[in-house]
Amino acid sequence: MSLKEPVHRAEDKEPSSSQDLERHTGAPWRSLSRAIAKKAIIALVFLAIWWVITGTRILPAFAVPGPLAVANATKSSLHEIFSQSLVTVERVVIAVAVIWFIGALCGILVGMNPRLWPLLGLGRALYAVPIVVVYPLLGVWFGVGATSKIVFGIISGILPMSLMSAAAVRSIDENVFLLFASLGVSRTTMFRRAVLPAALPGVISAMRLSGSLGLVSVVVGEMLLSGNGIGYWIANAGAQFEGPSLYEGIIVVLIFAVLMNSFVGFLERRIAVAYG
Amino acid sequence: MTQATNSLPTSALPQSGASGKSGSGLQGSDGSVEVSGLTVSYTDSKKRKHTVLEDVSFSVPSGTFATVIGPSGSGKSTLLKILGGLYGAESGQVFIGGRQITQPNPDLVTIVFQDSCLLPWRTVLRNVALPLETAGVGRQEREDRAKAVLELVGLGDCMSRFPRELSGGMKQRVAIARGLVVEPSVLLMDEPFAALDEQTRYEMGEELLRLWDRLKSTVIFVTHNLSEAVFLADKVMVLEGRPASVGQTVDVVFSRPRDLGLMVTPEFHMLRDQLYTSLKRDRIRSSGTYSWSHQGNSEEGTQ
Ligand SMILES: Nc1ncnc2c1ncn2[C@@H]1O[C@H](COP(=O)(O)OP(=O)(O)OP(=O)(O)O)[C@@H](O)[C@H]1O
Ligand SMILES: [Mg+2]
Repeated sequence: MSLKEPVHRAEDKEPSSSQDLERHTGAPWRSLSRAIAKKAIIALVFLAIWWVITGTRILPAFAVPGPLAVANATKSSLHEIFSQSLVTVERVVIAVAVIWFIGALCGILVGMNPRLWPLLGLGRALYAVPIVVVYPLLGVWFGVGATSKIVFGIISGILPMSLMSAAAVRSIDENVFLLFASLGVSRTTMFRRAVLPAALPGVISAMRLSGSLGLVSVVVGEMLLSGNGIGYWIANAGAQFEGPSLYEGIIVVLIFAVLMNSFVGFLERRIAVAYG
Repeated sequence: MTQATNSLPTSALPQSGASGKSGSGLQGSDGSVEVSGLTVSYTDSKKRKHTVLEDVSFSVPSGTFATVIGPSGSGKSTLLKILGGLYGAESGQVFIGGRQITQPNPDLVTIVFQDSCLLPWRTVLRNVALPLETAGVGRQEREDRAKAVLELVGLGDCMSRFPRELSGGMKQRVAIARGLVVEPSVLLMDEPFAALDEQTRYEMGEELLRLWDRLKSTVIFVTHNLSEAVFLADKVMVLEGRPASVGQTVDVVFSRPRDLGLMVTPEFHMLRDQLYTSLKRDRIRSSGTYSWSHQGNSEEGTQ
């Protein structure tokens, strides 16, 4: 066993150039489907445990309704929960898109300009403030509709996105800049050929964190002050002691989180080929 | 001075890379380097000025292999950055091929940095092709030229690997290939083999000489390894004092092509020892301001 293992590893590591090319193009997609399969298995195990626990009736049926009860509730309310989910998806997509693009842009710009670095201290201080406290204010300004949720999501996610992107740019090896300077390139070329690719891994980790913050904040916003969306659904079901509906809502939010996480993970694996 | 047979290397046919384009390194006096009265200072974070180089003057004829030695922190890297047009000097001038250097001239002068400085997100081939890419050379041509140079440094079958899949020696070869791909008149090398073990270091040196023999560009090679400096050079320049200037210049006239056998000859040792003595004297004179050993980030001496 101990004799065999190193041999196998050595073989694995030997990259012939043609094999290499194949690995580079095929791998992300294959690993994506593998990741989905892995998640499906986890979900099945979770369902099984759930079913066993509720089957034994050690917990009251309201607190933990069985999967079948939730499934039945879902069957009758499928149309409604779907349309509520869509409402939330739209808000989350807008908020997260803004967080990712604007946040990355601001962060990279600040990271590239040492004169703007004092802003980072300010950002870090602001980030320490629990932003939920300003949410009622957003309700006053933007009303109970979609805008206040989207703005709330953006506010919670954009700071960490910017701060982490700026940190990614600042940690770029000084020599990379020296190399490009010695090639006499313009600032735009420096940005496209050096800064962006060098900061990419850091920016993607920033996307993971700020994306989930955006999602949570939109849902929390819906729970606090709203007439629709999955957050509202959950809050409402909770208030009316409708166990199965509550679980439906929670499962939907879990699915959102898993989907977003898979998307970022997919991006991560795509670049991992080059970044190791 | 130590004597050996003929001085000028007149061997081998100059081979001009993959395509016939540019090849500026091959035309007569194009690669001559003239430095006069160069003074360079840095301003530190407390706005104090530190003069690193003072009144540095030397000239390196085109096609010469010159090495620069000096202790850590003496300003060798700084000198190369000035020659590469990356920093401005406080006073003094640099002319390369008759052109005054005030900014980077990527088609005339290239730099191989102290660490290999490869871009981890690019394959070996695309790392080497980078200077052609930023110079606006078309895709097909730059790939052909990068491939040709990679063959030349013996990395023909690693072109689609990423830097992290290479050993330290291979990385430096890639860095050298990237320096050579534009066929510069002057190649500046900043301790390119410092991170390698001794054996590999000298083997790479030998290989570098073979390459240089074919390309015939001027090389200014910085090192703090005396044996390496003597083995490679036509001309060794010693940076000494603080602030540093060129103290001693030694012409090395061992015949070429050279192989590692040269390093065990008595003549080689005599020359090496002579340089060592002069450096030791310098170190004693400037008592304790800098040490001979390479110490990571060289701190400014307090004085
Ligand atoms: N960007 C900079 N700002 C301020 N001081 C600098 C800067 N770069 C170098 N120095 C200082 O200039 C001096 C010379 O540095 P340089 O890197 O040229 O030395 P070196 O001879 O290449 O040393 P080594 O052999 O360790 O590489 C050092 O004292 C260093 O502290
Ligand atoms: Mg140096």
